[in-house]
Amino acid sequence: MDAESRRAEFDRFMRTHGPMIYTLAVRLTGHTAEGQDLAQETFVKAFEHFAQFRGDSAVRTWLYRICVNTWKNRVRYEKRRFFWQHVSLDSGAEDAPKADAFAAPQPTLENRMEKIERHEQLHRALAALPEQDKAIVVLRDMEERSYEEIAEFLEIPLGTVKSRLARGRERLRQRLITMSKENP
Amino acid sequence: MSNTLHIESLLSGYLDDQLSAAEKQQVEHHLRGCGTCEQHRQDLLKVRALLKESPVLTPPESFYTAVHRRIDQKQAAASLWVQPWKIWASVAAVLMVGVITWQVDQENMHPQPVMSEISPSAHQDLIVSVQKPEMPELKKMKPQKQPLAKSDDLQERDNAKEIVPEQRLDEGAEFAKAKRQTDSLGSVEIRGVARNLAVAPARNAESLPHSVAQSTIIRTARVFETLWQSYYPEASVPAVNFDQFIVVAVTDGKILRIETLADRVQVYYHPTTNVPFHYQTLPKTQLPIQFLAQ
Repeated sequence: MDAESRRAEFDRFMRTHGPMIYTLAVRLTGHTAEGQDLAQETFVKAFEHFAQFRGDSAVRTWLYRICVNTWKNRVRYEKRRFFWQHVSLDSGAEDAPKADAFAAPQPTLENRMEKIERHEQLHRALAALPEQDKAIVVLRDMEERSYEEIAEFLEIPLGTVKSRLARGRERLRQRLITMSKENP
Repeated sequence: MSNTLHIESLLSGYLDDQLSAAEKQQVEHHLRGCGTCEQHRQDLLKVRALLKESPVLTPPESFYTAVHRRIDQKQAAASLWVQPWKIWASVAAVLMVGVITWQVDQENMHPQPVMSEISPSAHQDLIVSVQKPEMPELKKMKPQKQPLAKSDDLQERDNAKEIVPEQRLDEGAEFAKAKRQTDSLGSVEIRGVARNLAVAPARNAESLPHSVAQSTIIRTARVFETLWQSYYPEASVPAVNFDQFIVVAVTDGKILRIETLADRVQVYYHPTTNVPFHYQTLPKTQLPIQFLAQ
């Protein structure tokens, strides 16, 4: 296959799996621009080995793994900087309430969820989670991956997946409750 | 109370059907008699439902164009790199063969092993001198007469002179990389921190070979909590009264001292990768705060 045909085939492949990887990347990073960059890098890496995986039934998992690994590497090597981005998101609101979200009373979510801007608040709540907790919540509750897959993707023990998922969900719940109180 | 907490810790696994039969039975029994935990369960279900309804995104057309462009750039860079790489590989191979041949000759000329009689630093001098023009003269010298005058300190200083430019390159590359990433984030996302954040390229290459220190001023508990947990997720967040105090913080560095002048506050810090995050509180002030690396 000549280079032009190969590129055309890769383009079709990319358009087939683009939304999946693009969505995953934006969810993992929590930012559209950074997610877009991560998804692009995923496909650039995939192109290097594209011929080897053409027609493979596990190609989606392979692509998925490239994306998660690339994201992990970014977090690993740019860890400090990465976290500062979250600070930047929050630091815009200097007049934000000073109450400790975790020490706040625990009202129910009943009739409150409708009053918050759902996805924006969810995005902010997710972004406030520690990176690994966020990734586990994203992979489990948004991407609907199994515990075993998450453990494999993130290279962590199954028990850690369970405990961090529980912690991430709980923190998310508490943050959303706090946000709904701030925006009644 | 402890029983309630115990059930709460099991709820996440319960929702995903990850509990053992005994645990599941325990949770269900508890939920029937505990309205708080039942409400907690329903809250978690709602959070999960909210996460699930997050839409699948469609990348813009420019996304695909950008991928093709990046592939083109990578291929172009690779093709430029191939030729010099082959040349340098050949040169390196020839040099290695030359050095090995010379070392074999040396051993043949001096059958008695001499390196064991030389200090490590002299050993290093000898190896380095192999590639110098004056090599034949050195070759004739007896090992005991090799220049051993350099103390360890001098040796280290010389080594440092050789290493510094390389470290500066690394440092510059690191900073450029960090800047590229910052640029790629877009102005909206970094605008909030730009007000307070002073990105300081490291001055001390020895202490900061792989990182760039950052500094910031934190005025709210929420920001402080977020930052603290990003570095120490397992540790509880220190209590700071943000009604009366602010926090000055650096990453990959340590705050040395804080000086309050008439027109500004100066925070002196030392960049070091040994300290991932360091902060100090100071009373609220309207003066500008300046971070200075030392």
